[in-house]
Order: sequence, then structure tokens, then C-alpha cells
Amino acid sequence: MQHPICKARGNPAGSRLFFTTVLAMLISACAPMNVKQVDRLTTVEEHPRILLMPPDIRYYLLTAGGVPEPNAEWTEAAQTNFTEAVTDYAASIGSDLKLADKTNLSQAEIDYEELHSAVGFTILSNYFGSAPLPSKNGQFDWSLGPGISAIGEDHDADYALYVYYRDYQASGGRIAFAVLAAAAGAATSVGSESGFASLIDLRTGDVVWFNVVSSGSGELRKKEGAAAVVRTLFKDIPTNTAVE
Amino acid sequence: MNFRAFVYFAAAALAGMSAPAYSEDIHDVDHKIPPGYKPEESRDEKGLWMEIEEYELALNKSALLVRDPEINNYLQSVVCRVAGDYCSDVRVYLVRNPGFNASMTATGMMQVWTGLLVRASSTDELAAVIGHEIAHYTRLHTLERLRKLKSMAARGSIFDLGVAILTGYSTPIGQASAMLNVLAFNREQESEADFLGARLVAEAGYDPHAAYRVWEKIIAEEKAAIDKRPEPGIFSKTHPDAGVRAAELKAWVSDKWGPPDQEETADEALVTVMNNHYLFLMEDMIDTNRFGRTEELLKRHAAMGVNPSLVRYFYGEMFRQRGADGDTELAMAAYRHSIEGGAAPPEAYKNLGYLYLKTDNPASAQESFRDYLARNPDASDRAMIEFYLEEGPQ
Repeated sequence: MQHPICKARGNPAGSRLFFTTVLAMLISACAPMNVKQVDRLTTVEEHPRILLMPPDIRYYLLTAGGVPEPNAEWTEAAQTNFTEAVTDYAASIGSDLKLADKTNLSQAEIDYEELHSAVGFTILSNYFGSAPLPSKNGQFDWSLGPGISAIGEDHDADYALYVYYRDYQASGGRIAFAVLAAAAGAATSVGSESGFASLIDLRTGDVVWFNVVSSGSGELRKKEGAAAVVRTLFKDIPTNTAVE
Repeated sequence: MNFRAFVYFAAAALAGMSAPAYSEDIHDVDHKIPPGYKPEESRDEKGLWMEIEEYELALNKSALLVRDPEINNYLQSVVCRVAGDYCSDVRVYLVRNPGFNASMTATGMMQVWTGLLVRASSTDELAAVIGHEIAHYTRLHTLERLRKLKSMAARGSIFDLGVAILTGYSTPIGQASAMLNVLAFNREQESEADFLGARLVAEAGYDPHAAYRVWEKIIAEEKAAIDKRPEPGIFSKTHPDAGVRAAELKAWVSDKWGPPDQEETADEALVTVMNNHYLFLMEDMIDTNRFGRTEELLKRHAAMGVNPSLVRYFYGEMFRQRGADGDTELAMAAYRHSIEGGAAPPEAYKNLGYLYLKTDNPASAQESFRDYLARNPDASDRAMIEFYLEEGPQ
């Protein structure tokens, strides 16, 4: 059931790309990849208070030989643009957004960020992916656990928004190599982009909304691109307002 | 020869052909960066620093970090003395892990595992490992490894593509050869850091002979081990063999600085730190259940002059957990010795109590349990111990 606009971009080399590759393969299946457990956000305040955890966004340059090289400039631009775009978006849907300071996270906050990416990958492979857990019976009941409520109390927030994203951009050398390889009949990865976002209820730890960042949805390194990604990514996010 | 063996053979041959000869005398290399170094305007270096700085933020909050000021001051003072002008460029973190390791990053973030502290017989040996790590930093080893990896992987891919075009067969020979080349480069960096590290240590007034003694002790520990470390295969040999490192360093150090002093002298600074923190340092080692290695370290600590009462307690723990024939008696004797020495932790009384129960001596067990609760009134297992006390001697 390959949709024509879906593009899988091959298998990048290197073990650190493993998860990204799995993710890219999952995305390429192009089934609807989001889950919404609640229709409206609840709060004791006027607006639901959402805490944006530092977006775990990384950009890499995929060098000619397939070695990913972390890129500071792109990563920083993407993190800043994304955070700004989410802030604007939150205002437009009537949510009170708070930003967690990346340089001043507590140990628990760092741990939950790691836990979110672990749970996110589990959702990808065991809910959307080819390895459903029989005992779940198709239910979506993933949770980071109620221990996270302490973070909600610390920040006076009702929900936490977590984002995980990895982007591997092919260098000129990599593309040239891929063209040569294609001429010789071999497929070579020319990069990939993939990620997911979750909204966590900070009273229970439950994942109340989950969405996959689809490949080709936008360019985070540019302001307009980031805004487009955010619009697509959060299209179905529950809000406290009536559906637009 | 099967296909896999053929690829290995071809890759090794290719790697051998393109392996560079040492460009300068590996014994005599100098720092590549000045004190106060910040990354250049190069893309890969800035990317590398960004990743490491994010990691460091997380490490700062890690539950595994040892935060005790005394032990950190001791470590920091050794680092600064060895690093000299680079002192303010190096940030050292002591991490709870019973393995033998220390590591350095491109940004000067250094990690020392507690397993290194329990293996050092002297501050000189600790300084030798720290000198090796600082040499990695001042020689830009992490960055150069990334650059080597990039260029070798590109060459390897192109080689494989060429073979595929010419023969129609797709093989990973070029990529495998690139890996071997990167590993050889890695081992060369290790040797470089060994020699420059020894020089830094000597210039700081530490004993350069400690540089190879560290490796001799690792070999001794390996001999004492019941489960040996497996030999790495050719695709995972990131470091030179310990025996080779020890021999090369010994020859070079003795040639440059003369033969070692006859006896290693007692090291008050290290022994004081060990005495004050021995319980948590050795607790992690005991938990590895590696009895041969643990016993070797305990022997070493006793010889160094670590408080025998503390060392005896861990002999007790080691025998009790090993549980071989006769170990119960050995453990009980060790706990009793520890208690006589006056520095036994409350757990020595408790565990002795359990062994009394096991050997049908409930009266002595009761006494030990009472001693335990008297010394540790807030014990988390108080209810359990009181249960034994209420049961009384049968």
C-alpha cells in the first residue's frame, strides 16, 4: 500500500542510524500515524498550561562515505525555529505554553526526556509497526508513569510536549557517490529525516496524543519551514477550544 | 576460503598497503593546541563540540556522579598538576562504575570511573592514566579520529563501487579495509597518548614508571580473574594489547628516566581518600560478583595500607557472596577481624549475624543483630532484623 508521495530514502550506513532507518521504513508505510486519546485538554486554569520540553532535534551531515557528522549550525537553527514556531502555534490555539530551559534541566527532567524517546520508539514498533504486542489488544495505553507529576507541579503545567527528531542531510560528495552507485545499480542512502512528538498528561504520565513527523514535511532550518512543520505536526492536537 | 574469510583477508591486505608510516617519532610528539583552546570555525569540530556539550549538561545531573568534595578535590588536584597550563581546560567527573576506565573528549570533559581509583596503588598510577587522557585532549585525537573515519569511509565506499562496476560483484572489502585502517589509527593514537602522557606525568614530578605499572597490574588482575576477558577480534581492536603497552612503556621510560626506585613508597593522599570513601568505592566492585578480580584488589589494598578493618569487611562480603566450600567460615572470620579493627560498618554485624544463624548459633546471631541495630538505628531492614530477634534462640 505504498502511497505515491511517500518516499523511503534507503538504508543509511552506521549503527547510530539504525533507529532512524527503522523509523524511515515505518513512515514509508504511510498509514495514518497519529493517535489522539482525548478530544479536549483539561485544566484548572483558563487555558491548559503546556510545558515544551527542550526539543530533541539533531541535524547531521551525511558525508561521502556515509559517516554522519553532527552539525551545530543547523541543529541550533532548527531548535530555535521550532521552539518559536511552537510558541506562535500555541498562542493561536489558546494554550499557555511554557518553555523548559535546556541548560537548567533537573535530573528527573533529563531522565524523562530519555524515557520519552524510548517509549516513542516502542509505540512506533509495537503499535504502528510490524510487532504489535498481543496483550495490548490494539489498545493505546502507553504512559511515562505518574512519577512525572512532580515535573508538572514544578512548572505549574498540565501537559508536557516532547519532540524527537533526527535529520541526516547528504553532502555533495554523498549525492555524487549515490549517483555513481545508482549507475552501477546499487542503492545508497542520501539521508533521511524522521521524528515524533507526544503530549503527556502531567497528572498521570499518559501519552494523550502522539504523532509522527513525516518525511518531507518541511525544513526546520528555515523559519517558514519550521512553521509549516509545526502546522502539519500539530494539526490534530487536542485543544481546549472547539474544533476550528 | 569462504566469502567472509576472503573479505577479511582482502580488507587486511588493502589496509596494510595504505597504512601510513608514523609521520613523526611517536615517542616525541607535542601538544597540538594551546591552553585555552576553543574550536576553530570548522563545521565538523563545532558539531562535535555541540554534541559533547549536550552530553556534559546531562552528565552534570547524573545520579552516577560522585559529588563528595574531598574525593573530587583530590582528583582535581592530580588533574591540575599533570595538565599544567591546560588545567582550566579540563573538567573532570568522577563516575560510579567499577570498571577500569577513564575517558576524554574533544572539549576537555574527562570522566574517571571509580573502578580506576580502586585499582590505583599510588597517586602516580592515577596520574599516569590522567596524563594519557590529557594527551588525547591536547593532541586533538577525537576530532582527528572523526576526520579519519570520514575520509576512510569515503575511500572504502568508492573502492567497493569500483569493484562492483568492474566485476559485477558487490563486496564490503573497501569498507572493511577502511574500518581496519581507522582502528590502526586509533591504536596509534593510544600509543601516542601513552608516551606523551608519561612525559606529562614526569614533568609534573610524578613517577613515570607508574605509566607501565598500571598495565602490569591490569595484567595481574586478569590472571587472577576466574572469567577472563575475551580477546577482541580484528574488527574491535581499538587499543593496543596491554602487555605490548606495558613492555614498550617500560623500555622507553627506563631509557629516558633511568631505572625505577627500588620500592614504591606509601601514598598518604590516596590511602586517606580510600579510607574515607572505601565503603561506596568497593560496594560497586563487590556487586560485580567477580570474586577473583575483587580478591586481587583487596590484596593490593591491604598491601597499600588501607585500613585493614575496612578491607577485612569486604573479604567477608566476597567470601559470603562466593559461597564456595569453607567460605562461610572464612567470611565469619573476616567479619570478626573487621569488627576487632574498629572501623567495621554496621553491615559487618548484620551479615555476621546471618552467618551465625546459618551455622546454628542463634545466641551469637542475636548478639550481632542487636549490635547492628545499635549502630544503625534507622536501618531500612529494621523490621526484618527485629523479627529475628523476637524469634529468640531456639
